Parts: sequence; C-alpha cells; structure tokens
Amino acid sequence: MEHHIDVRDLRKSYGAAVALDGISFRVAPGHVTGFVGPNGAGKTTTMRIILGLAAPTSGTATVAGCTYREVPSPLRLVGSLLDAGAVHPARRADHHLLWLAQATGLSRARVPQVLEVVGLGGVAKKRVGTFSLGMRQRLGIAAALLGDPPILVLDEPTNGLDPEGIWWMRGLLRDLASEGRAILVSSHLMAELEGVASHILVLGRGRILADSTTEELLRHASAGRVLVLTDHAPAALSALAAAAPGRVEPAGPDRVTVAGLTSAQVLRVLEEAHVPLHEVRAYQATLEEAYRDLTVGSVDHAGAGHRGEGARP
Amino acid sequence: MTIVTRSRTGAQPFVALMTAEWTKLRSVRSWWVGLLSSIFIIVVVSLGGASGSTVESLDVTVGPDGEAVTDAFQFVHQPLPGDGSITARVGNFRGTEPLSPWAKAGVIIKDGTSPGAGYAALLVTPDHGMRLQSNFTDDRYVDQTGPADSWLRLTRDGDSVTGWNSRDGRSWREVGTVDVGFGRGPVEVGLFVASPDVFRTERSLAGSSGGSFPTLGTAEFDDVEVKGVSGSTAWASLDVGKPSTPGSATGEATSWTVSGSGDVAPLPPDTDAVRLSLTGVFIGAIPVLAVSVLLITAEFRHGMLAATIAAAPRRRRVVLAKAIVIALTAFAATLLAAAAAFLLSQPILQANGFTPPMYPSRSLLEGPVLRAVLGTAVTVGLLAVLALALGVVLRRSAAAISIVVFLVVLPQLLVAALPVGIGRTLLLFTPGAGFGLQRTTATYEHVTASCLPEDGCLAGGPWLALAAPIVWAAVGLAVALAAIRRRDL
Repeated sequence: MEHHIDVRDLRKSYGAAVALDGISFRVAPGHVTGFVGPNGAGKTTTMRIILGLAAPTSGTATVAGCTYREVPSPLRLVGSLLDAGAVHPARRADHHLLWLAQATGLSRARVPQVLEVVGLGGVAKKRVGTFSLGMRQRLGIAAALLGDPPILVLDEPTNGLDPEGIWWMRGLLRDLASEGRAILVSSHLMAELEGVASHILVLGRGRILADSTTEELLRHASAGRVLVLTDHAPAALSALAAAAPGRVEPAGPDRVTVAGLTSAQVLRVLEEAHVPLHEVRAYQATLEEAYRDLTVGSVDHAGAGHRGEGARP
Repeated sequence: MTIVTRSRTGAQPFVALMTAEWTKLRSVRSWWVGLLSSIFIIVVVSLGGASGSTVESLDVTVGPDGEAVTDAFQFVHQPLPGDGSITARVGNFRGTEPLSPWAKAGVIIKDGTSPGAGYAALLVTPDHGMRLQSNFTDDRYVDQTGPADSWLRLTRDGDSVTGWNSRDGRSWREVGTVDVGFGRGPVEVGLFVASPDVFRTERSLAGSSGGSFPTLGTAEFDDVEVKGVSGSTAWASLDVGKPSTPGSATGEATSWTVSGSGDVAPLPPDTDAVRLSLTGVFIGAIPVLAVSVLLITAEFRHGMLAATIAAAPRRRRVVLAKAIVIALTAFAATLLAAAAAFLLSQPILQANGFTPPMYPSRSLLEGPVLRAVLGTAVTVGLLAVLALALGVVLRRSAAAISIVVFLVVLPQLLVAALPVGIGRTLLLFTPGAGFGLQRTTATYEHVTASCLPEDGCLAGGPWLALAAPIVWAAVGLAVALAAIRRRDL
C-alpha cells in the first residue's frame, strides 16, 4: 500500500496574476521530498491546493488517489503544517490538539503521545499565546502527526527553530520517511534540506525548474567545473576569462570556478599568466548553488532582471 | 489504493464535528467569561428592573373566577326569582363622538347588582357586531348584526342562559348557550348600556403622549318583555360599579332610553409582570452574541480555519456544526438566566405591589410564563446563529458584532417613536421580534388595552414573533454556507 501525492498540470491564477503555471510532480513514499523556490514561487499555493484549502484554476492534486475533499477522515491520511501561528492564542496546547482529535475521531490518548514526540509534553496545559515561534512549530508538527498519517505536507517547518530544533527536525523527518511515509517539505533555503531531502523539486515563478534526486542535482550542478584557490583571485579571474569567456565566476575572496576547461588546462593558463595558486581541483557543488543556477537560469530565460535572486555564497 | 484508504478510515460523524466545536468553544477562557457575563447581566439587569418598578395596589373589582375585571354600566333591572326570559328590541345606538367601537347595548341576566357578579349578556356593538358574553372573559361573536332593529332575548334555565335573535320579533333563532354558574336562585334581569373609555396614543420622536377619554352611549329599547316574574314587578335603574360618566335611564314598562358609560370586561394589567422580570435579556444577550461571532471570526483572524478545514474538508458541515453548538449554548445560557431572573424577581415584584388580583402570582411552569422564558432562550439561540452567519460572511469581528447589535437592539429603541400600528408590524420583521414571546398578559378581543410594540405587543400575537428570528437565522445560515463553500482560505 503506497501513498503518493500527485499533482498534474496545476494552474492557479488570481485575476491576471499567474501563481502556478501548469506544474506536475509526484511525491513518493519513503522519501523526504524537498520543495524549494524563492518566496512567492508558489510553494504555499501548491500546498494549499493539495490540502483542499484553495481551488485550482485547472489541473488536479490528489492524495492517495483522491482529492483532499473526498478523503473521509483526512488527518489519518495527510498530516499538514501550513502556518504555525494559526492557533488561537488563548487555547491550551492540549485543547488545540484535542479538538483536532475529536473532529477526526481519534482517541484523546493521541494528544499526550504526539506532544511527547515533539517535546512539548511539559507545556501541554500552557496557553499557546505564551509559546515561542519554535514551540508553535513543534505544536504544528504534533498536529500533523496526530492521525499517524502516511503522507505529510509541511510548509517551512524549520521556520523559527533554533539550531538544536533544526537538528531535531531533520532527524524527525528522516525517521518519518524511513517508516515509509511520503513527505513534502518546503523551504526557501536549499541549505536546510541538505542531508534530509533525497528528492528535490525546484519551483520558480510558478513552474517546476527541477525534479530529480538530490544526488543527480548535485552532480549536474558541479558537472565539469574546476575550483581554483588563490590569493590573487582578480588576476586569476581575468586570465581565465580570456581562455573561457563568460564561464568564469568568482566563488569567494580567494576562489574562482571555471566551466569548460579541464584542471590541466586551468593550470597551464594560470602558469602562463604567472598567477600564484594554492590548489586546483574538481568542484563539488552545494545544493544552494544548484538551486541558484536553476533559478537564475529560469529568470534569464524569462527575460526578467532577477539576477539577484537566491543567496550568493 | 483509493478503496483501501476509504475502508481504513470511516467518515467523520457529524457529532464528532460538534464535539470538536464544543471543545473549541469551552477552551477559550474569554469566551466563557462572555457566556457567564451574559447570564450575570440578564439576571442583574432584570432584578434591577423589577426593583425599580412599583405599582399602587388599587381597589380592583374581582370577577367570579378571582380575576381583575371592569364592571361598570347602566342597568335597568328587576329581580327574576327563578327561570324566565327577557326580550327587547334595541335601536338608535348613539353617543359621544367618538363612540367606543366596543360600546355595548343589550339584555343581561346578572347574579345581583354588585360589581363583579357573574352574568350573561346578549348585546350589540357599533363596530363588532352582536356578541354573547358571560362572566367577563367569555366572549362569543354571533354575527354582524348592528344596533339597528335587533330583537334580543335571553332565556334562563337554572345555570344556563341561551341567547336568541330576531329581525322582526316573530321568528327567532338561537345564537348560543352559556353556563353562568349562578345556581337556581334569584337573579337580576334587565337592559344595559356601557361604553368604555377610548384610549388614544400620540407618538413622535419627542415621545409618546395620550390617555383615555370617557364616552357615553345611549340606546333605545322597546317591546321589552320579561317572563317568569310574578305580576307586575317594578323596574329600577342604577349604575353598577363606578362608570367614568354617570348613566341614566328614562322610560317605563316596555320602552326605555338608556345611557351608560363604563365596560363589562376583564381588566388586563398595565404592566406585564413576567416581561418586567426579563428586561435584562436585551442587553445581556450581547456578550453571548459576540461570542457567537468570535467562534468563527477568531478562526479567520488567527488563520486557524485552515486547520479546521484540513481536519474536516466539508466546510458546510463545519459551519453547521458551529451553528448547532452555538445555538444550543446560547439557548442553555439564556434559559438558565431567564429562569433565574424570573424566579428571583417574583418576591421583589410582590413586595412592590404586584399582587393579586391584578397581578396573580405566577409559576415558572405555567403556560404563558414557560412560553416567555423558553421563547426568550429560543430567540437568543436563533440570534446566535445569525451572529455566527454574519461572522462567516464578513470575517471581521467588529463589523459582525456591530451589525448584530444594530439589528437586535436598535429597532426596539426606534419603535417607541413610531406610530403604534406601524411599530407593531415593523418590529415583527426584525430578528428581535422573538422577544415578543415575553408578553404574558392575556389579550381579549373584546378589550381595548394598551398594546405598545415596546411592551412586546406585536401584530399577530406571540407565536408569530418567532417567525422573524427563524427566517433571519435560516437566511443568514444559507448565505454563510454558500460563502464558505466558495472561498479560498
């Protein structure tokens, strides 16, 4: 029995503004699928449509083959976290989970269990208004886990968490995926998904820019690039730019990357130009860079001046 | 895969959604404070109203059943020792302008001449046709026969009195029999004329003014014949009770001209003592209505509705569950408060002069009181549904609460400035019309009593008052269900 999220040709427009421009993807069980893209790319809109909170202009989004509204007891199938602040501040944490359990027909014994899982057992009877953003995120995760669902949809779950919390969340997500759940996690920071997501969906301006395993994405992003470490980066830059025009980029105060030249060619060029260097090796891209390449490319292709989008290292 | 999923998870029963909504309602402390303050305000304001109201205990005439009555008329009479009858032709009914539409001229058999004694009468009126009336509260409409050339007859057979009517004095038809309860002993039989005071109210934005004006009616009787008396008994005439204007009678044997003022009818109290013990409901309902609005607007405001809808994607069921929960809660809180206000007010009102016979002591479980208390609670329950619906549609607490208060309270304030008839009809269409059920004063068709809309006296009687809140709640809910279905959250 496998539970997928299936999104097909999803479009959503608000008047003339197109939020989603025909996206399709599938979230498979047993993996954490990272859903990344700059703010405003349409991640939250996609998740709201999957959860039946917004209606698509066209296309479908299904969970385990049904639209969300058709699922008779949805919290047992899909756990979700959209906005951790969306709790009445005067309500106690356990009461917030209790009404969710009651609406879903779950035993009230689940409430202390999930509070324990997210580490809020000690503040069950505290008002949510007194919680930090990180505690509210944990409460949101508790709500998502209440029905022990095979599918999880989490929008920016690490938002507001401290480093310890982020570390905890990564472990939790890995554990939940290893239990065979299909998990879709959005983030606007690719780095947050490093080491957690085994599959990456990159969304930009309402379109899917990449849909591949993390491994493939990194290989593709690093492909054929050479990293040069030098104390004379400007000199290296101009020397290499002459040999491979438009394919040289500064990668930091003491480093430059080059595409289209082998390590040997790079060494020869720099030697001829008398640029001292420490090291030349094959480049290992980070997810962040892979993501930046994709989003910058997409923006160029679209012809708009969004070059500054995405964090530069 | 789909089939497996569906069999694994049962559909959420509606009661589960109601339980969840009840948990939401009870788990926000300020909402509890709202509900409790509603109860507190209803009780305290009502008790304040009761303490501030006093009446002078007047020397009231008491009818055969112990009820307060008016019994004042000009009576041309002679004793009737046992069974017998009286016949007379009545005509040329005239009087002061305006003559009361309920002026009465006719034949009467009465258990003595003291006010409040039992009686049966067949009479004609200027505007309300011919009536057979007995013992003040019993009033039967016969037909449209007016005071022109009507022969009237009453025959007595022990306790029961039968009325007859003729257009020519020869062919008679029976119009009804009443059981009067004065045994087989001697009674008084004769002719009578009464004309009640005319009540007029002038209204403007500056306030109401008005009062009652005495009237005097005069009728001519001939072909007067009494059977069952021995020989020729002399006629006598007097004013029974204390009419506003003294009456008179001239004539002899078979022909009389009789002028009379006053009325023979029940005397409803000016103040409805039950309604007076529920005056706090208007103000006290506001916090509970505010909570009804917040039950949904708080979810919009905190973005919580997304969680609610994610747990129960069939949104209309969610709104319906909320509506039922808040209606039952508002009903229960108001019922508790209104019952307490009524029970606690009774000793205060009695100490302030609201005593029998004009103000009989009331029990919570007697029909009209139960109707007033339950009707008040049902009305607030329906208003809570309307408030919730406004919250769904407007999504803003302040706007929805203001509109609810505006719809419920403002008409009650405004209506005192409108002409009575317009006010009584207009108020019937407002959501607060249901509070008209608080009126427990018995209304009699044959008594022209003060009937002001602000006293809960609406067109169409008490039960029709529930129609408006039901329609407002139903229409509001329908609009809310349509709105929640389409909206992106």
